[in-house]
Amino acid sequence: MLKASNLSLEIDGQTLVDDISLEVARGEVIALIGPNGAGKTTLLRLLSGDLTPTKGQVHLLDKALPDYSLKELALLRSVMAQAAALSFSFSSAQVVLFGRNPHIAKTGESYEDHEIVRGSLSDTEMLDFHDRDYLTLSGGEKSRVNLSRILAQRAPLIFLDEPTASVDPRHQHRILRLARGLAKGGASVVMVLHDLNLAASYADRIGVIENGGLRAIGSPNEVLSEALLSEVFQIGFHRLDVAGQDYPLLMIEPEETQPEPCYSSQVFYDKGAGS
Amino acid sequence: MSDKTADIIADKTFDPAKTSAFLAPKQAGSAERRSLSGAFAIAVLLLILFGVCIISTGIGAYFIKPLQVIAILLGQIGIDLPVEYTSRQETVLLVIRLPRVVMGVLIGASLGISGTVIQGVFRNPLASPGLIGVSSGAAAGAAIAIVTGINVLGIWTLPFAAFWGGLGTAMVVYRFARRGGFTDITTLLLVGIAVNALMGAIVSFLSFISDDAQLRSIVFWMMGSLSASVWPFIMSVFPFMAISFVLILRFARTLNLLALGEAEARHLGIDTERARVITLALASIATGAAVSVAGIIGFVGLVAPHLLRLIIGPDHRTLLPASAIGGAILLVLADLFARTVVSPTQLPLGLVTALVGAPFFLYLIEITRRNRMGG
Repeated sequence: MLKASNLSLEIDGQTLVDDISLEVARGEVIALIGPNGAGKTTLLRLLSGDLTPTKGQVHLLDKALPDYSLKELALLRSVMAQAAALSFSFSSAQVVLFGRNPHIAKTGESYEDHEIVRGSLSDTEMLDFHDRDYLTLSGGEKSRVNLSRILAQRAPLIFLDEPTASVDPRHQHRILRLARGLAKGGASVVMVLHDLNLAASYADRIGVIENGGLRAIGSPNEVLSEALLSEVFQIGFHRLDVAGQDYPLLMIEPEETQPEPCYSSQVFYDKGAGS
Repeated sequence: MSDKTADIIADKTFDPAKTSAFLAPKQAGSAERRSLSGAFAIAVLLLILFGVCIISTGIGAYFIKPLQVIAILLGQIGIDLPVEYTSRQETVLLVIRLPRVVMGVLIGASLGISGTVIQGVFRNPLASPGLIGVSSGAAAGAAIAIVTGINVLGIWTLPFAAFWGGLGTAMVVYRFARRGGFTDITTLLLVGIAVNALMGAIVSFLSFISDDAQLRSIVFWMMGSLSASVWPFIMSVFPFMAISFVLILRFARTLNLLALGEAEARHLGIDTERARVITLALASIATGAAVSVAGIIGFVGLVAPHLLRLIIGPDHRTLLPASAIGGAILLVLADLFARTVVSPTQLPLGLVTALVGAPFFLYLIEITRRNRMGG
């Protein structure tokens, strides 16, 4: 489906992405993990065509990414970015209908488009909010509406940048189960995740990004070793292998030392205030 | 758990009536309702505009009843109504009142639709056509024409200088804000502020070196007026406005998608840079044409889109035509006020729109804030 070869991105002499090669197969879910600022989002933006690499190239199906028009791309890949800020008070249903844009003819949307909007909203359990002003939704609800918009776009290649951020546990799992369902239907999903256990349980392969490079990629079982994770994330990990389950469970081992914040409220109480 | 709590929970988890209404094929959902209510809103606005025009055409030093106005107008195309009117009324209406109202409609519509486009492109409900330098540039152009006394084009000199001053300035602003094929909206805003200040300085300088008569002309031009409404001027701005309107309406869905953000709109197949260049150019042309014949008229381009967005929602497919009609209504009413309240003299139109527009805008902000708080 997607093939990236030797991708590098350099901006103002700083290497943000360093020689990454990656292939995404049809029907596969890939999770990208890594510390803040490692280049996960930048890699996603290179793969989705938002950014042009300074070296290397990305092939989607049999054509290089720059050879596609924006319209052709919109039918092939959808992107859920980290924060979607809407500037006017559209309703949730209208926002999801925006996702239909690549499919809608000049004459306007059809009844079928509305059916798809309804279906996409109920997939994320946001149907009851269809008439609500998007701007009044909570962060997690906004994420779910945006995911509905991505679903309504019906592209075979889907990029999700932290789709579970600020979403409650029930809907985190629902979102990732949806991703699995999409993959089962033949779609390829590439997503950035911070929760390693979610990544382990829902991804076919996990890519570990460190300092702009692809440190490791493979099945959760292969990649998620205590040694590698501890080194990349700079914190101790404890790995539990659960019987009858082909992916590990990960626990963080807290650091020995308690960090000392730069101020203490004790000063406030010492003054006798608030007593 | 009390019964009451149980009730609330039961109520929150599932509302069969609401859900099934949304799912029922017959009530085809929000967008079908939108297009229907959209068409309805446009129809109502057109009706109001028609009424305002008829009444406004009749009011003045020489009064003509609304029915007489209709009779005179229909008489022009050969339909005779059984309503009596004098030939003097006919002359006043056709030569003085009608061109002024028509001009008011065109200018109000231009300012209204341009305001909506600029708010849509800037993704900010507080943006207005003045932001990209059209008004200040037109003022500089007009001031140059007045002070230098150049008169190569006769009565067309001033409108010509104002139009190209406005359009030229908007182009300069855009060029400065564009880098590497992309335009950053924040930069565009900052460049606009800087260029507006520069144009303001040019106008100040020209005012400083002008003689009393020239100074008076500059000041009057800056305050806006429809007193130059004659058919030749109307005919000369009409094509610019009409073409801009038609082309702007084609970008309605694109403007909707821009509300999602630059990257999101591109992911959905929109060439955002191209859309922005074209829509801003069209809005500049429409505004430039309006300003060239009427001077600077503030607040219509800000208030009309804002007000209509509150009433009919943010969908540009209805908002664009609605704000054009709404702008026309506001301007015709403002001009009626300007020319009747201190009759026989006239107040400058820009003064009226600012005087009424500013408090009204404060009121709109207050409403919006209350709505937000209420959820």
